[in-house]
Parts: sequence; structure tokens; C-alpha cells
Amino acid sequence: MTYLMVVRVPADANPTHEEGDPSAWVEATSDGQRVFGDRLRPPQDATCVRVRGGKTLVTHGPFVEIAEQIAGFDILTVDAADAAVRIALTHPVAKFGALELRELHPFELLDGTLDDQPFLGEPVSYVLLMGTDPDAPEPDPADDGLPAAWIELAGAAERGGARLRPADEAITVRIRDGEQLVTHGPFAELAEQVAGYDLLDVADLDAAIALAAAHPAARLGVVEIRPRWPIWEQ
Amino acid sequence: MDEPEASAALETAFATEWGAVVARLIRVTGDWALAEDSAAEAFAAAARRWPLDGVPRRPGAWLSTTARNAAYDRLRRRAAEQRALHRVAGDPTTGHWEDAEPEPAGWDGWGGLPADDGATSDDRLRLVFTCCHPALPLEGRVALTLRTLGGLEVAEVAAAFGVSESTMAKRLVRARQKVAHARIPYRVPSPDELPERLDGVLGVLYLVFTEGYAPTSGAAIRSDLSAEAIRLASQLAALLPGQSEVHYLLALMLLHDSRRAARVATDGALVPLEEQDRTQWNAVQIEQGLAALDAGLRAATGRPAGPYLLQASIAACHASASSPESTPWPRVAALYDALVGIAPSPHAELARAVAVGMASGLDAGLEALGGLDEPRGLRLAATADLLRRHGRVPEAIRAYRGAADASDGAQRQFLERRLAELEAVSQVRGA
Repeated sequence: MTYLMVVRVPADANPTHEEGDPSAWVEATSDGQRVFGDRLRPPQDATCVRVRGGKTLVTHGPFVEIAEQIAGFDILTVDAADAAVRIALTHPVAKFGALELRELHPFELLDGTLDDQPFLGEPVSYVLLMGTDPDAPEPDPADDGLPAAWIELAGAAERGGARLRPADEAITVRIRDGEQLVTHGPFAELAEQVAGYDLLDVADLDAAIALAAAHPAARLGVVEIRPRWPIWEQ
Repeated sequence: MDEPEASAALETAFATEWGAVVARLIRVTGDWALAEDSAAEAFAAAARRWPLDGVPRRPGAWLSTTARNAAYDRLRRRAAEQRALHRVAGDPTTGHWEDAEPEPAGWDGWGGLPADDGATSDDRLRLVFTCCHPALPLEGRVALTLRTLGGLEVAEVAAAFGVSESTMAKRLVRARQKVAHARIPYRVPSPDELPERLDGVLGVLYLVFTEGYAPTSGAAIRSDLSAEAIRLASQLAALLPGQSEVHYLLALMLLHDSRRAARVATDGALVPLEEQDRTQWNAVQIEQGLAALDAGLRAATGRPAGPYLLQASIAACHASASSPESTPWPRVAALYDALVGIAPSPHAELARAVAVGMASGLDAGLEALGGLDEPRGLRLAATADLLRRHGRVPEAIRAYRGAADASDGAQRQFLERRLAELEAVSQVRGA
């Protein structure tokens, strides 16, 4: 089974370089469990795309302003949920933030095949986070919401992606005062939750906006665009 | 060369060339802060040199070359500092820098560019569209538009929006960082994206204009911001002559701004349209505004009438009337009708009701007002206004009292003045 591990760091967390450095963790999970992952540019560099009534609406910032902001992500392939929890518990962010484990829930495409492509390889320059939007209009019953046409459109610019199982099936991992806190359910009870992701290789934000706007999630909810922030960059 | 002549030339050059100089430097260096600093250095050099050496034959080319050289010097210094830093840190990976000819980081050379190559109109459009990119927060778009595109000092922009200079500086840094980190491209949108993106640009210019014309805080009018918005809109109209919406916005701004001198009394209170001394209206701006409206209508491509066209047309009705009585009220009412249909706002609905009252009588106006919701202060003010215009003094006094209680600032001051006038009238009549 494959999980998207959403790395959440409170806005006021101020870990030392040593406390926050994930390199040892990355090294330890390099034997196949961790498929891919990286840091993301902070929420002030995020851009949201919605399509309403055929019009593309572009806005500044993340789709939900919360304390525990998304700071990065990892894709983990494991035999059982327990293994994913064990890996998450060793992540340095567990001590001051939260690791939200979200199992992938691939779409069954119209031809019966599964859209099961969590990661297609480098390069990746942006991550699309599909969000639920409580204010989104009722979907058109004729709209199947499937990304098949989008995958075709994106072509080589798509470097993998998946729908996620609902947030109430998430497992959230934290360590506080040395105690391991593993909770079932979303990291916070919010109407706005991550519902899927896609990795993109495009040259600039306008190209990312054009692909985000074409994705069914932009009609049915919201797509947040986060630039990748490679861990070695300042 | 005498000094006044040089300083007038510099002022003109600043108004027409700043954006072009910055736009080109951003294209070549990709560094927004560097481009702004280098452009500022070039204008400072012009202020020193032009009074002594005379105004160059082509001021734009002179400024462009000087700014380019300033940018080059800054990049060389930066590269030298980096090398020194690496030497101090003993970083072996940069050893080759020691004997290489210094080439600034991120430098792609001026080689292919002739020395006096001014910015192309594309550069200026790139800058306009990037400053107003929808992925930037609105306050960041406004700040970049005024600072980077308009060349206002950070302190001026800060003062215009009632924030501290350091807050405004941080806002600019964050906006430039988002351009860099999110990789907002420096380009003119493709033809199919252009109308939507242009709406965003016009929205920013309109916001700057209204902040100058009807500030949300402080003085009754800040003409510097209005003037800046008009200048940028007229440059944009010249760059995009085929886009009717730009002409409509420019027309709207000019026609409103033409009343500036008549709009504020000596005590700072706002003077309503009907009481303004129309001889004080700026005839040149009215002519330019009507011409811009005309240019927009000529360029129109059958797109349905948007809010700028309707507002500009309403302003044109007022600007062309020699007195309040000769205003074509039925046309004004019909235009507000259409405006309320596409861009409903409390202000437009009230203005529509007032126009209906003027065109079709008090009862029709009061009926139009009756259907409106909050804000209460505005509705009461409009009701009071209609009653007063139709000579219903006691009812108007009651309505003005209610409206003044529910308002503040210049609006309240105006309502209280009206109230005092009516009370004086009613005392005379009662006596």
C-alpha cells in the first residue's frame, strides 16, 4: 500500500537546524519505503486555482489558513499501515509538528484500469494539492470528475499523482514530551482537506495554473499550487 | 542649460521613462530589486548631471544606458563579494573563480544588445502584467504597481496607504519573493488569456485611482494617487490600443478627476455634484475623457458592456451637462440600471434610485430606494437627498438626522451641513 505523508509544521515552530534536518531520516528510509518527497515553498508562495461557471479564478495563498501548515510531503510504499506509522514516528518533524498519513485511493478509469501512478520520476518542479472546498457548487451529475482526459492533456508534464482516501481515514502522528501520539482521523477537523495530489514538471507558474485549471478538481473543489523547495536550497 | 529646464526635462523623463527602464532591466537581469535600485541610481545621476551637462538629446536612451551600467557595476560588486566570501570560507569548489575573468552571477551579458536599445513596448507590458499577476496578493500587486512600475518611493507608497515604511518595504519584498519563488513568468499573456488578465490589471489601477479619489481613510482626496493611476492607464491605453476596456477605464478616471477642484470645499468637506461650480471642472480632462470613451467604443469588439464603460458613460452625461437640471436623467437612470445588473453594489443601487427619482419623480425614486437593504446610512442619505430635492423639508430633516447618525468622516460632515441648511430654511419658513 502507498501513503502520502503530509508533513505539517506549526507556523510558530522554530526548530534548530539540527532538530528539523530530515537528512538522516531520508537516509534511513532509502531502502525502498520512501519513494519520493521534498520540502515545499511556504504558504505565502502558494497559489489557488478554482474554476467556477467556466471562469478560472486565481488567488494568492493556500486553500486553508491554519496553524499546522503543509511544509513538505513524502510518498511511502509499505506492507501495512503500522509500518507507515513507524516510519512517520522517526521523522524529525514528529517532535514539533505532525505527520498525516493518507492512503492513496487510485481512480478506476473508464477502461477499467487503475490510475495508480504515485511517482513517475524526476524532474518535479511544482506539487498540486487538490483540496475540498465547502463552498464549491453542487457538481453537475454528468461530470464524472475523472482525471483521464487531464492525464492525457498533461502528458509528460505530469510526474505522478493520486486521489487520497477520505481524511477521516487518515492517521496522524506526533511526539510530545517523549510520548508517541498516534490518532486516527484527520490532523484537524476542517471542512477543507487534501483530497489528492499531482507532481508537475513545468517551467513556470502560468503553465502550472493552466494545468491546475484543466483538472476536474478545480471545478469540484480547489487546486493549490506549491513550488517545490529542494531541501538543499536556501 | 538652466536648471529649471533640466528639472522639467527630468520630471517628464521620470513620468515617461521610469517604467521602461525598470522593465528592460528586469527582463535582462531577472532581478527586481536590482532593477529598481539601478533605475533610481540613473535618475539620481540625471538630477546631478543634466543641469551641468545639458539634457541629452534622447533622455530615455541616456537613462537606459546609465541604469544598465549601474546594474552591471552592482552585479560585478556582488560577484566580487561572493568570491571574497568563498575565499574566506576556504570553499574548494569555487577555486576556479580565482583566476577566471569576473563574471557576475546570473549574468548573461549585454553583448547582444545595442547600447541605446530602449525598452520595447513588450517589456513594459511584461512588467504591467507581472506586477498585477493574480497569484500575488492584492496589496502586493498595488505595491509593485506603484513602486516598480510607477517609480514612487517606498515611503510615498506607504504614506498613500497609511502604513509604515517598513511595512510597505516588507510587502514589496514578499511580493518580489513570490515572483521569484513561485516562478511567475515575466511575459505578456497569450491572446486567449489576455482579456481575463487585463481585467486584473485594470482592477489594480482602478483601486489605486479610487484610493486617491475617495480614500478609505484620511484626507478627502489624494490627487497624487489619482494622477498616478491616470498616468499608468494612459500609458497602458497607448500600449494596448485595441483593448476597449483600457480606454473606458481611462475615460472614467479622467471624467471623475476633472471635477477634483470643484469636489472639495475649502473646509475639506465634499461638495455634491449638483452644487459644484462647473466652471471649475477641468475642461482639458473632460475632453481627454470623452476622447478616450470614443476610442474605446471604436475599438469595441462586441463584448457586452462592462462596468467601466457604464461608469464612464454616466460620468460623460454629467460632464457634458452645463447644469444639474440639464443632465439627461433618464439616460443616467438607464445606465445605472445596467450597472446594477452586472455589478451590483450599494452605491450603484442608491445612485440608480436617485437618478430614477430625478427622471421619473419623487415617488418612483422613493420606491426604488425602499427596495434596498443596508447600508442604512447610505440609504437614508439618498432618501433625504430625494426628499430635499422635492421640497419635502420636514421629512428630509428627519432622514438627514438618521443618515448623519449612521455615518462618519467626510460623509457625516456633509450630511450635518445639509441638515443645518435645511433647519435654517425651515426656521425661515416657520417664522
